Amino acid sequence: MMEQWTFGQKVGASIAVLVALTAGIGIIAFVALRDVVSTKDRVIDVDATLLVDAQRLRVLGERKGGEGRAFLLTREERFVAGMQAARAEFAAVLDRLRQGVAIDEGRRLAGAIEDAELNHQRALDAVISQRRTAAATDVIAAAFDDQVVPERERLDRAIQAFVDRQAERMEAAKQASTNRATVAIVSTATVVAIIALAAVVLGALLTRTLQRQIGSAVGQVQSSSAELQAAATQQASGAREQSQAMSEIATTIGELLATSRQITESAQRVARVADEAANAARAGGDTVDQAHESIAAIRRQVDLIVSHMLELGKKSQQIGTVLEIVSELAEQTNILAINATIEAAGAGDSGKRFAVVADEIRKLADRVAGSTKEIRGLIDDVRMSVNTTIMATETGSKGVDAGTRQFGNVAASFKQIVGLVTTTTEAAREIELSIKQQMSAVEQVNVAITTIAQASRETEASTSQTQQTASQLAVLSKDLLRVIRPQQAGA
Amino acid sequence: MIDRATARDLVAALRREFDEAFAEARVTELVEPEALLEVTCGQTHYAFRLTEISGLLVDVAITPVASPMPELRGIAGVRGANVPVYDFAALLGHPPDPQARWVVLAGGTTPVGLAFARLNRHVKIRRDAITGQNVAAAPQHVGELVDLPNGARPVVSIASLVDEIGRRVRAHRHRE
Repeated sequence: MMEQWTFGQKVGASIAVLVALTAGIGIIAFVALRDVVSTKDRVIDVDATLLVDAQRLRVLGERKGGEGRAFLLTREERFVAGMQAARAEFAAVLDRLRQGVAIDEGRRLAGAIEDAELNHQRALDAVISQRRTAAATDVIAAAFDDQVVPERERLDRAIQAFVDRQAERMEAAKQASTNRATVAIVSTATVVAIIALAAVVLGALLTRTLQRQIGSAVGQVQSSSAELQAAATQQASGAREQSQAMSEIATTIGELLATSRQITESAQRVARVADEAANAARAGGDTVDQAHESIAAIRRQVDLIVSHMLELGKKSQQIGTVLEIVSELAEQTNILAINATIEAAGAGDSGKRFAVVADEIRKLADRVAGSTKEIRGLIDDVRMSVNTTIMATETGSKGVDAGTRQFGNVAASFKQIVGLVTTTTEAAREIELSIKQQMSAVEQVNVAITTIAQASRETEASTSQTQQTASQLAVLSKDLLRVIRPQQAGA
Repeated sequence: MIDRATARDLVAALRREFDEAFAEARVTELVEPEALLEVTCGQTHYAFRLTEISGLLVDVAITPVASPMPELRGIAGVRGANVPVYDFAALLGHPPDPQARWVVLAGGTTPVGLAFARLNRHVKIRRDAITGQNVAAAPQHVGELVDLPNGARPVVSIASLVDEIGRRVRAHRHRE
């Protein structure tokens, strides 16, 4: 991840680490000093105060004892008042001292002082009472020595015990404070040493990283400057070629303009021809409509012919029927003639003339039968011809139908042609308009090409400047590399 | 195909020929011609003399009758008399022809009808056109041949057929 950091990030991170370490040092030093100060303060504020108060108790005890002895000597009440004041102050100091101690032993010693003072005061009050009763001085002195002095010694020992104990505690507190200060000094020194070591390591790492990164960057700058030089050279060559190409494009655009003018004229001619074609197509459509009408008339005539032919077929059939009758009559006539011939033959000579008549009738019947047969053949021929004619007529009728449909298609095609030619006319006009717009655009392109040619020449000039800059950049990168890696720069 | 003018000419020719037949002077032929009828039985053409028959009928009603003779077609009413009608082809040895519609009445004392399928023509020929030669292999009841324009035809003897019918009738009667 660190490899991806920038130079600024790495330096910033290093400074941040150093600042953090310094802050750590400050915090540690602050904490240690505060601990030491608090320890010293506690020694001064608590232990020293307690020791001073304990010494003050000793003084107040001495004062109370002195005021009592002064009364015993002078019997003046003011000393008793002084004794009471000293005792009150003693009690106040003892009370403050009791509040200052934090452990049971201290409180026990304070309690011992209080008990000793109370016993001492009782003993002293008893002697003072004897003194007020005007007892003998010797007795008072003896009572004082016997009762008050021991209590006074016990009070002194109790106070001394507290003082000794408090002195020990203060000494111990002093030693603890010293130890804490020593620990703080050692800790701070250790942290400082660690921070110094970390700073050295970070500096080495940062130097090494920056050397590597800057070296790599310089190498890349060198490589890039070389590539930039090559690219600038290539760009210069390309700019020259581009300039030449722009000249050729300008020439081509001039030719394109001329061609566009020709196309415009052609489009105008196409529009005129399309108009004429549309008129011709309309005329053709009218002609086709007329032809369509004629075909319809032919169709009606053909239907009429078919009807007549069918009628002719029926008539032929009727003729065939009549002919059957004629044929049958001829056959009966023949039979009659044959029978007449037979009868005539049986009649002898008188029947011979009748036989002649019968024979002529038979011949006539034979001729009629032959003619009937021939007519039947003719009628069959007529029927066949009629059928053939009907079939041909139906075929013609179908052809006429097909022709009608085709003429309908032709008429539709002519209408479609008219539509298409109209569309063509509009398209030709649109082409003419588009070509004019295109010519305008091409002229603008020509101007732009001229501008581009000028820009190409300027690019060529700026490319030379780029080449020089790239050379200077290469020299500069070598100098920088020499600063960072002298051994590599020398090599 | 004959056009209308040709047909009109044909009718005029027929009328003229018919009229001229009565306008010409009567000529007695030196040789009396022989009248024949040419008929067809099965696939064979026959002829017989007109002088051997007494009449020709067509589509006459024939009533079938029960008979042991298969060649008997039935009974027909002719000029007020019942005439037995026999199958001409069966009598000549051909298969019976159920489509026979022509009937000739045999001449003679016995009234007999002979039925056949088709009457081809009525011809008059010279008598010498009928010969009795080359008929050895001819069928029964055929004793002569006649030379017609469309080929030679066997001439059937109607009298012989009538005799044959008589013999068969008698034979059946004798058998009964």
